[in-house]
Amino acid sequence: MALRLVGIPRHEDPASAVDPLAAISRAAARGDPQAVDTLLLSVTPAMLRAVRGVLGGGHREIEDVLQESAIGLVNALKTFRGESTVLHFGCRIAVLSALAARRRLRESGKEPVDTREDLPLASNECSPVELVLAARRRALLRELCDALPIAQSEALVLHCVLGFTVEEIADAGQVPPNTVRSRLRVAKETLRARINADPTLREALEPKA
Amino acid sequence: MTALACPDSLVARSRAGNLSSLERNQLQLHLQKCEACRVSLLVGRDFDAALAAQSDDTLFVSQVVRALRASPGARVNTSRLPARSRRAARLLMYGVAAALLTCSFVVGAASPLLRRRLALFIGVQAPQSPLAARAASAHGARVALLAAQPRLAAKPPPPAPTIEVAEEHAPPPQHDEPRVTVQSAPAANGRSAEAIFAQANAARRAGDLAVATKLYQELQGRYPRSREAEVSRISVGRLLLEGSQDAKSALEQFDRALRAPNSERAGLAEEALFGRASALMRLGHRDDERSAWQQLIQQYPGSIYADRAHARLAELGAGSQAAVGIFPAQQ
Repeated sequence: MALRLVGIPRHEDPASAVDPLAAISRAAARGDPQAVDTLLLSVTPAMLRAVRGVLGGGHREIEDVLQESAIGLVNALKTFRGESTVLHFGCRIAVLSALAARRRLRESGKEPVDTREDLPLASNECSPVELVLAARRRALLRELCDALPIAQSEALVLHCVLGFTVEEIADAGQVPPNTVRSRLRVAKETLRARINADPTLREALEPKA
Repeated sequence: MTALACPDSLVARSRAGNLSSLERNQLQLHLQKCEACRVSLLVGRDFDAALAAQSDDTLFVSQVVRALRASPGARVNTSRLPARSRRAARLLMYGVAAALLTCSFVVGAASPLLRRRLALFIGVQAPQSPLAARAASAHGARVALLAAQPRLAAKPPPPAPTIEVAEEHAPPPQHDEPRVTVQSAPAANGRSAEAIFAQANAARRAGDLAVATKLYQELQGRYPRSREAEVSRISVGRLLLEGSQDAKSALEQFDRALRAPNSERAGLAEEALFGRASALMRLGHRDDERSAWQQLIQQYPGSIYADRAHARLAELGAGSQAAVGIFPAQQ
């Protein structure tokens, strides 16, 4: 079961769309230190997940990038107008920070960008081979994010890595939903082409009856 | 298959199990025909499995939040007045300045008696003799003029002075020692502590460890009491242990971090204790190293370093030379 981000986007239920963190974020924007703490403790776990998704679970920069993202969230609160939930807003900041960190590391050429992920233990549901293939697919998506334009990478990560819907991506980034769909189409096509180029990964794409 | 026909939101919601049976059928029909969406769903499920919450996430998150409390960059700036209020304050200031200027001209042109009375009103003692009275009245007028001038200039208050004290080798950390952390003021060349700290962090992230170390040390030399310098001691300690393997200098950094007045609240003490123990291990000071590990376990029994501390204490007890530190020497 995928972890679903909390918060009801306004377009789904305008009458009762309440972001549980809206009041806290307003207090935090006014400088209330307790509200800042509460907000960070509430949102940082999801931001951590976003950073791990982009960098890889064992990456040495996770802590730094997460701190940067959290500081970015606190500083951006004054301009946040509730177009999306605070959680989605924070996750977007974390994704953009992590993508920027990947590009910075790649451009500096001083550190391998993709670190070896710790594979979960094989279980009855997943054989060791499937786990290895899954890790390769994740690595391939991360590499693709370095090559795509930032807007497409952002949409691909928010959708594929974090499970955002088109409307949630549109709300968080303040762009029209059709713009998000176009970005996703191009990004998904490129991802599909890369996976197809690997014969071992291609097998898993066959539709199951 | 056009872009508008791909039900991306259904794909996302299916991962969370939020589809009705009708939506599930709709998605299945689409997936039979659209390889891009099959890829998206497959890779999405790969990430769902890999990004499940880990047992130490809560501790990790609380450490990050604690470190942010001490970070100057995390404070929301609410000190600036709204534009309308700033304009009103400026107009009021100009009005007061103009009124005082007018008054000073009036005083200067007024009779000696009036000037004397005004001088007394302002608070200048008027002498009794006529000669002294004449001198005092002139003096009083000058005082009135001088009193008006600073308001006319209306300069902002000077920045808080930075007290830079050369830090000597200090005694062992005593957390009840009262200390004053002074706000960092820009240096003569305009580089504030915050700016140097940001440059050092950027250099460290870019892998320029020598440059990063130099910048952190510059920060600590110029703004030793600043919050940025306090936070930087852990980073410098690690760089010295990992990069140049200067365990002695690394130990000094961790000891200074432990002496910082807010180290407990900022979450730095735990990191500093671990760093201290690691540095002592490198230096071969087994007795001090043993005390450091014991202090870490005693103060932070739930620490992520507790297991390593216990393992190392067992080795020290058994006389083993195996290294357990989290700061491996770079090849």
